Amino acid sequence: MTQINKQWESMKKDYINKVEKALSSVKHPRSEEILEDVRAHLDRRYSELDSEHQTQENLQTIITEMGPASDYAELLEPNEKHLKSGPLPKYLLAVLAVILIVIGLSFMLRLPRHPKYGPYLRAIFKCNFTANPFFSVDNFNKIQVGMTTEEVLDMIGYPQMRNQLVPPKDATQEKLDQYNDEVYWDYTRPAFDGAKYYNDYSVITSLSTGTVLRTRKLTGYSDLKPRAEDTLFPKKVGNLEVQGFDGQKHILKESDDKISIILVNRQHSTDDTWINRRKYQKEQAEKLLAESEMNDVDIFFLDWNDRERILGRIAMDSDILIYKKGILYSTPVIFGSLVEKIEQSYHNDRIWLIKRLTEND
Amino acid sequence: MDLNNWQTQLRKGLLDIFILNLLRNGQCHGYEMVQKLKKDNGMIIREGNIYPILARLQTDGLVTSYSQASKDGPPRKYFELTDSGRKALSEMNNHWDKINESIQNIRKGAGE
Repeated sequence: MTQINKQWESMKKDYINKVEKALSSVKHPRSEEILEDVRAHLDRRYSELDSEHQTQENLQTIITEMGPASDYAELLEPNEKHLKSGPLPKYLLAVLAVILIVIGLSFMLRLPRHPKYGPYLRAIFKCNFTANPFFSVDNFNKIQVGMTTEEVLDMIGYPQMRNQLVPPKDATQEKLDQYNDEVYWDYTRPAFDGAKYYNDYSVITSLSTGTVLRTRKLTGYSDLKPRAEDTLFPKKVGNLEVQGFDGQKHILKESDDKISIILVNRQHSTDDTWINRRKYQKEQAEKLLAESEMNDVDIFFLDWNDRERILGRIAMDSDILIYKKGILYSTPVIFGSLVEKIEQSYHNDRIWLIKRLTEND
Repeated sequence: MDLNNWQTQLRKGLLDIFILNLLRNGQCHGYEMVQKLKKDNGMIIREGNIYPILARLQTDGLVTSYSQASKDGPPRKYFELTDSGRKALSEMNNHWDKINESIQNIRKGAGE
């Protein structure tokens, strides 16, 4: 290949590239065909030059006579479709707007429930946690050291769980006493399954004095398992089929304003052990009614299987539920070593709840 | 007024009718059409302009193409009018005649 030939190939390639780029703006199905035609045309023009006319100047004339690359798109699609920088057609803008709205809505609806990122987004709106229906961050911030547990209940309702921390092995007696006295009232849990990050609000109370020692606000990852399903309460269940002490089925109606206490049988009521449990539960319920000074309240049973069927997987030991107007309420669980120490606290939660529901009438 | 621009736009606008008329008497390949436009009609044409127009006319169904072996090089691509193309060309020519007549009448009326 001669030098001039190489030069021509280079000029031809350069021109065809420019045409190709110009045609890419219209994406016409015959773009490739045009490039082939132009290539053949250029080859033909070049072949007609005898060797003495194969000069740089003549080669450039061939290219110039082909016209500017931008003409190709304009002539192929005269309706301005080739103008990349031109204004977009209205229908295209509308389609784009719809797509953006759909994407935006997807983000808005899905992102808040994303296990990893959702809680951070929700944190902005202080809703990356669940709590009892009477809890509010504003009221939590008003909790003062020295307040009584009754005052705390009045302000922010009952906690999700009460805990005591395990003291270190080498703790001094003084430390042990401190650990044994402090009870953490944990008010919040992650807002949904899979989310570990949440705004954690706790009130630390003293068992011995029944007053607030301090409050605690944590944000960040927690090893606590999410218990979103535990915090289904209050849950709307509508009419509810329960069992009375007479062994007959009863239907609690949504339209009825009356408060009912539902004792949950944790196994079949024919089991001797759980008959005793049922007896104990009934005593608890009667105590509850006496202390809350409520007379016009009925007590019913709900079998464990029914409870799971109706309520799903919920807190493992919420064995006393309160029903009113088609809604089931439950105060938190009692378990572990704290049962004996702070059962009265849970009892107080229930009394408080019954009174609060009565007040709402 | 930018006369150059006006001439360019007019030329581009008329290329369709020029090309279709060139094909009225039979098949023709692109290079040949360019030569005819340049020599026979004195039309100032940018040679590359013909190919996107031929591609568009093919897409519109007015022109069709086929390849034919050539004695002095690679196969050549020939273009010819379709029936739709002939019909469209007839209408275009009529329209052009009317425009031309109007211009002539106006010029005569102006005492040119």
